[in-house]
Amino acid sequence: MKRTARKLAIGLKSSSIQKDPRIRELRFAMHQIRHSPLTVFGLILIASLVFISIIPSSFLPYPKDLESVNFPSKLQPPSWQHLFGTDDMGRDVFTRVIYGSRISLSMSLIVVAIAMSIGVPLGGVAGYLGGRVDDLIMRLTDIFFAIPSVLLALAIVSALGPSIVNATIAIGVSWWPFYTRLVRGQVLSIREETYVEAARAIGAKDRRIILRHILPNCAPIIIVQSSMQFGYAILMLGTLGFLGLGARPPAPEWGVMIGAGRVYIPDWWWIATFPGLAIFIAVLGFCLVGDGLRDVLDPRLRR
Amino acid sequence: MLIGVLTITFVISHVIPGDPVRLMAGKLAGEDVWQVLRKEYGLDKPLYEQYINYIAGFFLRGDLGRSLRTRQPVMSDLADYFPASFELVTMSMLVSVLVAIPIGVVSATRKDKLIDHGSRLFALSGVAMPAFWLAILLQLILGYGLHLLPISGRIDMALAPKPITGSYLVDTLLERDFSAFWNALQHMLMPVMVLSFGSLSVITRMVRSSMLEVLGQDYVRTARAYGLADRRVVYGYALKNAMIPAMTHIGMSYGTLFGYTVLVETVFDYPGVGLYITNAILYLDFPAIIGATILLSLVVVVANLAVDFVYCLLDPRIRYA
Repeated sequence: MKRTARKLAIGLKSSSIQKDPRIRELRFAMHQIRHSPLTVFGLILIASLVFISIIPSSFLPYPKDLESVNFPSKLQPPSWQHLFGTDDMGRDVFTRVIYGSRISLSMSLIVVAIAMSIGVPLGGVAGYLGGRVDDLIMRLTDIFFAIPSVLLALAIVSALGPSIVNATIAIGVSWWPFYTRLVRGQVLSIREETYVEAARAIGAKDRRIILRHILPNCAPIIIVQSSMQFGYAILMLGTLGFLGLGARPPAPEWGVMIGAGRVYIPDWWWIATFPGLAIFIAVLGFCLVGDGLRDVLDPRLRR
Repeated sequence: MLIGVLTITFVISHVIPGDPVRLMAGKLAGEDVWQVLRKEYGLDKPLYEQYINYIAGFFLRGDLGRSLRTRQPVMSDLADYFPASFELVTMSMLVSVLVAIPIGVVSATRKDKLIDHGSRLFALSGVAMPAFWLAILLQLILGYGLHLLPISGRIDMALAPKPITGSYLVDTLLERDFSAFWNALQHMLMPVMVLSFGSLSVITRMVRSSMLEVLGQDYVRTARAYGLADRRVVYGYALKNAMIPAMTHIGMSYGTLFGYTVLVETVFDYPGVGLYITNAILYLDFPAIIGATILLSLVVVVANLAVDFVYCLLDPRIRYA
């Protein structure tokens, strides 16, 4: 008797999992991702990028080249000893490119975190409260949108002084409006949903409505945006490094390496080429995943 | 809007920890030189007074301050450099729109086919490709490798036309100097390739998604039911309506492209606003950086206005509203 009751309970439980819309949604999403070859390709790119960035530096072929120079072996073309050749100071380009992934990934994470922590709350407040607060916040984002974001980051970082930390701050600070505009739009439409009205009717407080009902429903769109932003952040950090406003030599940052290697074009082409390839692959990975996720998470595009 | 942009740039430029005047005066200059220079640039006045002067100067006299590097008014420097960038960016925009629309349409009509995936990869590569790196690669391959195109500059010095409009393409045509026109065009080709590849992707994606939406509409089905040729339905009816949301992004990309000239012009040594900004950065020349930023923001605002205007042309519903 007891046993059948339990069986019944388990049976009920498993069937309720089947019917739980969230699980169904997730399975549907997984199904869609699997059937989009480019998204899978992007995921593979990101996974391998994360993997190479956590390789301890002592496992790299020439760990010494991260700190010191080795003039006797300078400007060697790519070979089995030096897969990507060596640069003007005899340092192994392959080692430095691999190690550079650490800098780019960690700094991009900070950029996205900064932009999100400013942008999402502002967007939420603007969308939920509306009225004058909304006007004020949106006017501010409009102004930020009017300045090309590359230039805004340039201006901020040249005011703060060139360094990788300042570059990270500058990019984060100039990118929050993207989140604000996005989240505000989403909140505006969610606010009118019946479930929010229902929550309000049973006396839920604003705080609870925002945290439990509105923000979770903004999550998909924030995730898509962040995946893209992450890629752009890598690109932007490289850009600032290239212009001499981000990381400083001898840091093995990709943009810096391209900037330094540019002088050696065309005879010693490998110095600038391989770090650029690394940026390209990394950013492409995040863009592919972001773009793929948008198709999956945005129900409007599903038809 | 403009006051907002001016305020933000003012705030940025006045929280500099470094002292650009001291940099300009040089290490050997004494305190008295420094004081004189500060007075000359109005940096000795209280902050709010500087702010008011700055805003008033811009609106009343079109004054953006004086460059610390060239010692010329920033406005006249920009007037020299702007036409080159304007020409470059406009050409790039034209190229990317002309390439992006067909690609977007094709990938929408053949959704999820191989060609759709291919165009998606192509478009996203455009986003992911670091502009300065692509520029270097093109220099390597087309310039040094195949000797097809000039590596840098805007035109061969000897051929430079007398400035009429400031756009070399227009000026050389006005003078009927076709070899100079060809030369300028060749110099422009690589920068245009780099710039348009970046903006291509955004426009392609936009055209594709709005095209998909339009193709599902009833009037498209009706047109098909009437037996109109597929070509006619897609390009005649659907594309026109799909272009409306895409226009917004074209307007926005225009501004973004101006931002990217900083990179592209630096690599190609192309004398436009972008190169001017890079040089200004090297010299911590704040009035110049800020002035150029303001000018380009102004371009963004104007581009968006132009887009609104084109909306009206494309969509009668907006016109009558």
